[in-house]
Amino acid sequence: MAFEPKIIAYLCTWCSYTGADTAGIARLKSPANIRDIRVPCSGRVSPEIIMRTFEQGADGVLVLGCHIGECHYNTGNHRAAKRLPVLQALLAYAGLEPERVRLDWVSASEGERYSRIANDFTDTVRTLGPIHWRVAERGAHFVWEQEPISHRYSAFSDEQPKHAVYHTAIYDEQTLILQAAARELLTNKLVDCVIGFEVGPRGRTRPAFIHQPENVERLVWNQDCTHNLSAYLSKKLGWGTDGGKKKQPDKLPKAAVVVKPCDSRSINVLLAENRFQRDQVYIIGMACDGIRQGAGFSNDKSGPIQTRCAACNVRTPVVYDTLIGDSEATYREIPPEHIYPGIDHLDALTPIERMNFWLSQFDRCIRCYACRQACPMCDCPICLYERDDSLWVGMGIDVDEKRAFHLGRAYHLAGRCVGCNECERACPMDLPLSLIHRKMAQEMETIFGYRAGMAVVPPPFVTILGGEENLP
Amino acid sequence: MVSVGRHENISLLSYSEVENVSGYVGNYQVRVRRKARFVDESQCTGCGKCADVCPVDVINTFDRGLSLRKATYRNSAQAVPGAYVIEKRGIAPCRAACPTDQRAQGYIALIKQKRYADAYWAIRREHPFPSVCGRVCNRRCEEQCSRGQYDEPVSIMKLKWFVADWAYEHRDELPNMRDKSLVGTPFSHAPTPTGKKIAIIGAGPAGMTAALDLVRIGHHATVFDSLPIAGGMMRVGIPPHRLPYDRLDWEIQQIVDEGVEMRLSTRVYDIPGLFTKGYDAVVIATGAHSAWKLNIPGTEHPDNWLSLDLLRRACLGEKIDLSGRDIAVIGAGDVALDAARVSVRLGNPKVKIVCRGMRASFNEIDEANKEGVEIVRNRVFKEVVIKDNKIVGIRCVEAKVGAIVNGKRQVEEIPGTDHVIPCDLVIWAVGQQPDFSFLPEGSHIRKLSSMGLETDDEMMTSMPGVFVAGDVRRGTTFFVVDAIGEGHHVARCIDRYLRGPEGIQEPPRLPTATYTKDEVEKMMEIGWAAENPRAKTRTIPAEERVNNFKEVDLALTEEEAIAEAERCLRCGICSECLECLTACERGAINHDMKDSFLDLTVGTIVLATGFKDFDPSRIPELGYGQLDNVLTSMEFERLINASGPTTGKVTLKNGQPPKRVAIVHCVGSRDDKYNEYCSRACCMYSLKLAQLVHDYVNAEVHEIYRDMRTFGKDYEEFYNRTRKKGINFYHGRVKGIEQQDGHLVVKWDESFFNQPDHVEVDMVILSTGFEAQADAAKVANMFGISRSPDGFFLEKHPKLAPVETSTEGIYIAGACQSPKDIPDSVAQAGGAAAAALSLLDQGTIALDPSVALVNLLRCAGCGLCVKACPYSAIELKESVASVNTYLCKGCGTCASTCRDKAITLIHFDDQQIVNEMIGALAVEPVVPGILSQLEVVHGI
Repeated sequence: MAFEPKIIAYLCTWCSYTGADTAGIARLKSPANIRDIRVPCSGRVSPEIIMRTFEQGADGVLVLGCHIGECHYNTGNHRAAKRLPVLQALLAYAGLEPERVRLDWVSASEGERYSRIANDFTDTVRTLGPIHWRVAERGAHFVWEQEPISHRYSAFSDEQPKHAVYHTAIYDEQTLILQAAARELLTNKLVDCVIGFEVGPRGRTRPAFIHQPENVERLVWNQDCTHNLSAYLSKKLGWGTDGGKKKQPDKLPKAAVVVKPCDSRSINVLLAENRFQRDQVYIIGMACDGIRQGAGFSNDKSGPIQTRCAACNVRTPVVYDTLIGDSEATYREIPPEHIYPGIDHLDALTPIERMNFWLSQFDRCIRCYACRQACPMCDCPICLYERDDSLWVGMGIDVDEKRAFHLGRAYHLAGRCVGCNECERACPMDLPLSLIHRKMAQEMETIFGYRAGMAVVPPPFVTILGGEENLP
Repeated sequence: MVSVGRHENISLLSYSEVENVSGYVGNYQVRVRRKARFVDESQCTGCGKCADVCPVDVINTFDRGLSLRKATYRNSAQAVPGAYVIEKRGIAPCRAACPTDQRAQGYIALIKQKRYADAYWAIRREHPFPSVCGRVCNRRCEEQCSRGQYDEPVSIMKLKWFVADWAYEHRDELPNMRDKSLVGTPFSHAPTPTGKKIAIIGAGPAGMTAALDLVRIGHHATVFDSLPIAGGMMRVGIPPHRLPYDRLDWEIQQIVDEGVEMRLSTRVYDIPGLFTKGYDAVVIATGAHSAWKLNIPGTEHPDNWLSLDLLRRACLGEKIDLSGRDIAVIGAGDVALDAARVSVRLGNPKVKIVCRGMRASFNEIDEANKEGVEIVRNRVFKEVVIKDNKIVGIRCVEAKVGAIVNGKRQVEEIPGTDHVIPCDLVIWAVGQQPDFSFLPEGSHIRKLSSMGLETDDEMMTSMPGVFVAGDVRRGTTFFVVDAIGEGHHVARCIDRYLRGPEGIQEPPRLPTATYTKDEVEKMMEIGWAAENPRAKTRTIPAEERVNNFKEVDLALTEEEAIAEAERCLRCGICSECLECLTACERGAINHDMKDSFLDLTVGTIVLATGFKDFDPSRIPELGYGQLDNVLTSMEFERLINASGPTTGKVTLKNGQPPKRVAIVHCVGSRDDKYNEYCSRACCMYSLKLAQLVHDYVNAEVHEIYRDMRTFGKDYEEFYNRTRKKGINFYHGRVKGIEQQDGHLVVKWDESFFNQPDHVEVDMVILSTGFEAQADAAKVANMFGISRSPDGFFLEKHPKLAPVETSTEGIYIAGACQSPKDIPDSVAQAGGAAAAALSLLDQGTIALDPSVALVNLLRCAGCGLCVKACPYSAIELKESVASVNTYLCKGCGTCASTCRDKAITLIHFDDQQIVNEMIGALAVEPVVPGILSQLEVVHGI
């Protein structure tokens, strides 16, 4: 028997579901492959549900809503129109044909349009053939090549970052300025704590929490300061909880934090999400010349700078109270096509090859959640992918489940990830996580012209479509 | 409408706009902006006298642009409430720019209407010296004039000159006219005396203006001046060839006639002594009458004259003979020019102006050149060369003169260009300063370190009761308007000082109404103002000017003045001439009114915002706007209306009554290119128009219709009656209207067999369809309701909830929901009112159970759901999301936005959707072609 795809269609109850009814009343043929699920609004269809639908074996997902401007809920469909292209890009990058997800508009009177879209979409998915998404069901049909653990994504980069020259004298000078600033803050009791970097007993640079003015000499600034210290801010500055109900203390804690330009962008993201107040944090911004590869692990103080730093064009913090360092000296013009390094090689592969690559990577994941813990943005009280209800992902270590976790996290970081690479650094299995997050950042910039954390603004998903933004 | 307006339980807020709506059903907070109508609704009887006198013509939108109305207007004769409205955009930029607050747009509008006396009173209201400022002003109003963005500004100053001259010529008639110059001011010609005495030192523009204002309040004002003649710098600084003194003297006499006591030839030395003599306040308005010289060698020689001394002597009529002398006037401003031109008139000597760079107006320089004044620029002065006790020249260096930086002109001397300009008399016109010698030693009146006198915010010096105004305050010469402005201001300050809070307050100001360049160009395109060029300045020939003090420039003629007044763009719409204030017998008009806000708390809201008629100029083949006698139905309605622009007479453009009239149906409706829907009411109103044309115009009527839609009760009968009257009906779709031999030819296709496909007529009426209001999207957004694809407001359900909307407690009625005729609108309005009432009467509402629900344990408080909610139903409370279930409509946008799925939608929660999806996937696809009725598998 010929392949018959299973397709789930999420239909807005006001326009598209009624439109499907209209199609039925008009005796128009609609393929039996499509199973319609009624939702109040296309804006209700969360990308997590669509990803879960593919996990469960659907060959295609169709989301239909009211035409833009006719939404029963005014602007609910705007949100769908903004999320779906990003989800499509993510799934495509993970190896799924983007044609398997479609967002379209059908109004209540457009039975004919519903029928046409349903038929066309079914034909498209039928041509694409069975989905190769669920590894557990594929059996011998499709086997991915298991990669050795030593595989590094840097093999995908055109050009190895050049061996960098680190100006130790400048770092020493800036360390003294930094220490003076920290001493002043602590002595005057402007902050309770200064979060910075120190050199540990084995010579590795590591985060430091300075509470007393006499300890500020521990603070350093050098090419090994790779950690994104803003990850500590939410906990340091957040409100206490009291039996599940958050309580605002009488006096909000205050902290100073040493940030690189990339870290400063994550502070903006956190501020946009009400993690803490701007006046709670004193930002000591460092003009950054790039961080050494392997920083945090080895102390050889030399070697090339990180790939992301070589491609970084934000060399001055976007938000700071004090700026240390010469922002003009660190300024670098980077061609726009080079801002997101490493991803184009993966883009050039076929969907099957890409899926192969990612499965070989996710296969190594041990679900230790180190990436999530290291991430300054991953701060949900209970992670969606670590719940015991198995609604979103099973608790096993099947590669399907590991992929669901990583793709879900990638979607949650779209428009929020600033590219600090803490997840990849923290990963004990060397998963090239930065590739997927960088891809999402690139998509957000292509689709919405939006770079996370450049200002304290809500991410594009929650706002309505602007005049210049693309409609699917 | 009248009964609605008078109903005790209905408050009708006309001329108002809803600014903001918040809250939810049963508790809506509506903020209404009550636009300032500048007429007190409770006082206005609607007599219309204000509109009779209003000089500003505005296109009458109620008459569809077929007539003009005044800026003071009532929308229609039947308007409820019947109170008038003054249309005002704000203060015209010319008025805003003027230190005296002169209502320039007002007198320009009155000149246009040839109401010169009224224009004169409008000027006099703020300005006691129109003859002076009509001639010598620096015209800040013209700098700001919107017309300047199109071609050249209106010659506002010359228009004032024209009015001032007219008033002077008619000075004997003026006392017999009603003096309107005090209307709208706090002043009076015969005020109750307050018993307060004020001494004013200096009879210049500032002092005289202050004195006039003070006597009009009821104070006693005495003006002291050391000169034997009043007028100050106007009289002894402006030479007679620019200002004939008979005009000025007449204007000063008018001030004196109001009761100002003049003490001329009296120099005041003892200011504190004035208080002991019974004066309650003193104004120092002595001006800046001392010219100075540069500090270079040779200036002590007696042939170094001061410009102001020369001007004063000449102005006072002293005979000075300068014939045969070689004069160098040193200076760059208007005073230098005046001194030079006065010198020319005193015996025609050789005169040159030597300066760094001229600052006077080009026109004046040009005239001076014609009179033989030579101008030597770019010189820096080093020495007045004296030989044998006679001046032989002035030694100077050439210099490059650059831009002004930090208030200082950049001058760079060119080395080696030292030379002597020969002359035997030097007139210094490099600057003026006040003479402070009258200030008593050790007095409490402090000078500023820079120049001028120290004052507080209320123009008072450091000595209580002593005020200062005019040039002396600033320490250097400014313009007459500045002095007059300060004179008014100081009079108000003194009044407040003497009478406390009862005193006259500073007048409130509306914002300035400016136009952008694009707006001005658009207005000129529609002929809002005449295209006339700016009036040229005419002068008497140069040869007639020598050795006499005849006035050089000529005033505008009456024709020129009217042509110039027609150039005004009426930026403020209302010109603020205050004629309406004069005309209103009820005192209902208040030009200082401001927009006010009204906050209403209401339970339900009914929207009945109506429609906009289709603009047929969008259909080029119909020729609307291009061809004469192609009218819209609304325009024809106005024409045939007894209170319309022609009082009910239907005529063609040429004044003849039409003999044949075509009525074209479905204009802008039932057309894929414009609007797909049927506008419903057009067929029936077209039939009515056909009957009207047939019965009252006695013309042949041709109706070209697509389908005749007579859907209502008695409608078909009406149609049959119309047919029986002998009106021709043709089926067809009109494809074009053309002009042929003075007639209009309407052509159509899709006609029935054997029927004509064109008709020749004199007039075409286009039955235009209905469209949603231009701001329907804004209104829908504000009230949180949806719109259908055609732009009209969307009802909750077409059959079951036709007046409800998607937002609880908000109802719609009439043509804002869809095109409909009056019976349907009234019926729907009744339905909306009943629905609103029943909700209010119940006191409780049943909410939709499907609303968002927050899991407090999971909520991270990121606030993304707050931003994503289309209804603003979510807010952060104590750092977690909290849903207002009255506002929540259950779209679930929040649930899909939340990363942690801490917020979900009851009845559509994630568990339910995912389980439904898993269930749906468990069914294997049915092979197509076996059971066709199973192909649509909803809900399997």
